[in-house]
Amino acid sequence: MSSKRAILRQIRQNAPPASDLPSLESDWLRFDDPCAQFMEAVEQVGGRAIRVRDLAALNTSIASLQVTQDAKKIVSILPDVGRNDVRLSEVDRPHALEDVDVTIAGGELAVAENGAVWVSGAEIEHRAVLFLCQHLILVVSTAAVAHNLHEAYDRLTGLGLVGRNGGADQDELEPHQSGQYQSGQYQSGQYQSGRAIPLAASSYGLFISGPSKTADIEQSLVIGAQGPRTLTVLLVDALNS
Amino acid sequence: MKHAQAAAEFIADPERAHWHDQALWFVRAKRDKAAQAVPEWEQLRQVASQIKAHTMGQLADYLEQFDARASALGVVVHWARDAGEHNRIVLQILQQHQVRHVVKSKSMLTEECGLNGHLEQHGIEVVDTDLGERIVQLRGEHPSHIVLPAIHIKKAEVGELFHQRLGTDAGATDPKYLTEAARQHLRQEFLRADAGITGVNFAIAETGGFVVCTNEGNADLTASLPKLHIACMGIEKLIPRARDLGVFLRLLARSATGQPITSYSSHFHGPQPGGELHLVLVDNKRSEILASSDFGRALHCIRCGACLNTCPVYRRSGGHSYGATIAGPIGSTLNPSHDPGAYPTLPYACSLCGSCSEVCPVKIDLDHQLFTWRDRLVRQGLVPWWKRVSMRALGLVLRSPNIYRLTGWLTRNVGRHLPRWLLYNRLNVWGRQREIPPLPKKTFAELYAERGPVASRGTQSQGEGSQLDEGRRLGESGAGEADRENRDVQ
Ligand code: SF4
Repeated sequence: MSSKRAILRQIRQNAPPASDLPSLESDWLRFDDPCAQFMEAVEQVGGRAIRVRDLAALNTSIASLQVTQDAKKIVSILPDVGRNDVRLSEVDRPHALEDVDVTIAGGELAVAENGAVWVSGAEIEHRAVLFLCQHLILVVSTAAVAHNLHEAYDRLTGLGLVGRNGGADQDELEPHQSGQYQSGQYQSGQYQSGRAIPLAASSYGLFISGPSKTADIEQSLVIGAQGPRTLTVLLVDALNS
Repeated sequence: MKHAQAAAEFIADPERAHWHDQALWFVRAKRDKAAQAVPEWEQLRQVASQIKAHTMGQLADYLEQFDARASALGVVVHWARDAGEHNRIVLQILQQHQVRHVVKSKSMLTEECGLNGHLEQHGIEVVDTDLGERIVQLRGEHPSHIVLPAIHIKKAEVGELFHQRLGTDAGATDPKYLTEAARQHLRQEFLRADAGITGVNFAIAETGGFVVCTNEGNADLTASLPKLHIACMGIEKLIPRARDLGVFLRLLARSATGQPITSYSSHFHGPQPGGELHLVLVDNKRSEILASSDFGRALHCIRCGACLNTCPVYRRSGGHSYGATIAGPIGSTLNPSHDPGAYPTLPYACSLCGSCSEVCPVKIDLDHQLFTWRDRLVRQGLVPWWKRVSMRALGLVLRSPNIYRLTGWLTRNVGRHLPRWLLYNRLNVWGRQREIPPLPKKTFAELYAERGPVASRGTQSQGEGSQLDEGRRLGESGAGEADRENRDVQ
């Protein structure tokens, strides 16, 4: 008998009594001003949050950051945002990105309760660039701030926002077709609040909350363990203008 | 070795034992603050516990669903009945790809299976990339805590270790400096690795994906620089829906370290472009433990470590005193489930204070399980003769009012006049660090008789009731031990 069959048979024999799967609908934590709460949460987890009005202000703000001014090599995954010194599509092995100083990437969602930003790997040629860089800058629309993690997963799983979360137009509630989020298409509206993003459509995606850190030596918090030493999150009010 | 003996070695250095205790209490305090900041904390625990109970009831179906979905995403799914099969599968995948050098992120499962040793025997170099795990690996040790692997090691010791192995300055103890040195060292290891191995925090049946949580980002480097990624998980890590992650990720980091979420919560749904992703599902007795109505719920554990941080015994005895991969309250129930004969003293490494069950984010009844284990061990004859004999004697005394009264009288009138050498001899383990308290002149029964029939039953029970309510309120606001004391009083 194969191990799979043996294991499954034994589990079926030994299964504890059946019980119901609970509903996840509830009045979960919400905030009066989710954007302000999000920015506060980012600072609490060791990051920096800056709110800007539009694309022009975004670029000004990025250019004025110390980390970009000091950087020799910057990778921007967002067209028209920041400087880009490397064409990722021309990079063979991610190992070549070892000396990247700053990576600029787009976040599709932000979570007010914990300062996390959802970054989908679908648009990133070499996902290692999010971790090899010394400094990470994430750009996310203020319209994409969710109150809590439940709301964030509702969006990530395409459940939409009907009634509960507000801020979404009807036409944004439709689950999007897979493939719609190909690299370079981010401007077509995926930053919009309420856009359903099917989690499984991309082989990789993650919540990033603050810079890389560790407290493994005597519980002293040290920022900059294996990944980026700093995280800057730029919240943009009107990203598509 | 028995837990008490191993613990005695740890507390032989009182200063270190105190430091260890304080370090963990600090983490526990951070957890409390984080939990209290979430108004629906108790509801989250309840829902998490229900999701786990439901999943275990249908685990076979969910595993099949997960296998099918993951395979459809291009993941190669393997099934391993035990640790040996798990190690063989991983070795085979690595050998097929001519891998010489592996980087690994934290996985308690591969610790449980002894994977590192197995791979090293076959000439494959394994580098643990979590800083704490790298420290214990370089020292030739195992993690002493499931979340904080190097919590038992002082910075001066890390400094000395890094000086010898990584060439840092002699005498350097600054955590920042040492972490930077490890960063530079590990970066080279990531860059030259042929394959990466990660654990799994949660696997999602409905999508076939899985989630790995770290603060350092080491799992992501492990799983994105080499083309080959192998993820190893126990079958109990499954959850039905992706949306369930909202519940578990809100609980996990807050319970573990007091963070609102880990720095990185990475979701893998299939191999990276041009890469290969293998997933090994490991049973290793879990399907047996599932059958136990007493101990099966230990499989709900999400390995947050909160029960270790709060446990008065763990904090004062150190993780290595448990002699097992998983220490602390959860280890004390899981390890005997794996092999009662090998861990007969662990259920006694417990004061039955119940603090573990109060902090557990998935509401495992840890203290009840440890209590039940004691009963089981006695029945199986797995406790030492002197404990069996003394318990039988105590049973005799407590069963008979006359013998009980006589024993009390003897203790009060004869016992206190016994010479010290007789009272505090080698056999009296309890008296090693303690003095017998001064004995009251009168017994409770005598005092009660003196008071006469004034205190009527009615007022008494009313008094008890209000005390109980008080306890409940305290329990709700997080002062778990007070609540527990009341339950014991009942
Ligand atoms: S038993 Fe509960 S508290 Fe202990 S590690 Fe597991 S989930 Fe955390």
